[in-house]
Amino acid sequence: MKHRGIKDERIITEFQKLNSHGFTICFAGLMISLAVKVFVLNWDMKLWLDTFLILMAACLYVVIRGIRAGLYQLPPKEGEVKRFKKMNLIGGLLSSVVWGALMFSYDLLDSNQADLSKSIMSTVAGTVVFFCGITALQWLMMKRSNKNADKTLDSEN
Amino acid sequence: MGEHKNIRLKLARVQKDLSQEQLAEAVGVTRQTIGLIEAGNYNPTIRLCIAICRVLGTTLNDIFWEEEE
Repeated sequence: MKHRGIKDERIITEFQKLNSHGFTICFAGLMISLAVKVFVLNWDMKLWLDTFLILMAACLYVVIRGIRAGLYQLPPKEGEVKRFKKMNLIGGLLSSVVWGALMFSYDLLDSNQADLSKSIMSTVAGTVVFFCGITALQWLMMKRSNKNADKTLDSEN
Repeated sequence: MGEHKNIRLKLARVQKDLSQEQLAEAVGVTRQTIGLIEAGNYNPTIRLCIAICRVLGTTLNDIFWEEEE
């Protein structure tokens, strides 16, 4: 009987799924570990920099590979794209508020005699820059990913 | 679990006088995978479907097409 040499797709898929779950567990564990080291224990940066870099490297790897493969897709209908943009803005706003709150609290903790108005101004400016950066980056990421997906399709035809 | 048992696959395999293990070997998967497809617990890729049909001498319609209920 002719052997076609097909690998067992079920086993491969299952392993990929398990690896993905394993990655998620490691990711969540490292995030929690980082949060505890930074915010609870207030450790020096040199003590948690490795964890931070590993996390960033893993995130960048997933995102860049996703963009290159064109996995981040915009919705096909115009109305849905508008809703997506709205959600993108809300997400950016929320993360900016969290970022701003963290920066402000650090400002207060770092200086004993805090110049409140200066601290507020710098936090607001930083939050605006963060908001613009994060929303623009997400949007660019989506556009680039869509472009890559179309490119793959064009090269197939 | 086993929502749509693939009886037609089992019948075609038996008609060809093949065991699950022989069919699995012919298409390059494990016996368990064939068992799971027959039991309706695994959804094979089109590539595997074609390989199974080639070995059994059937078409995709014969084995995998499902009429709407």
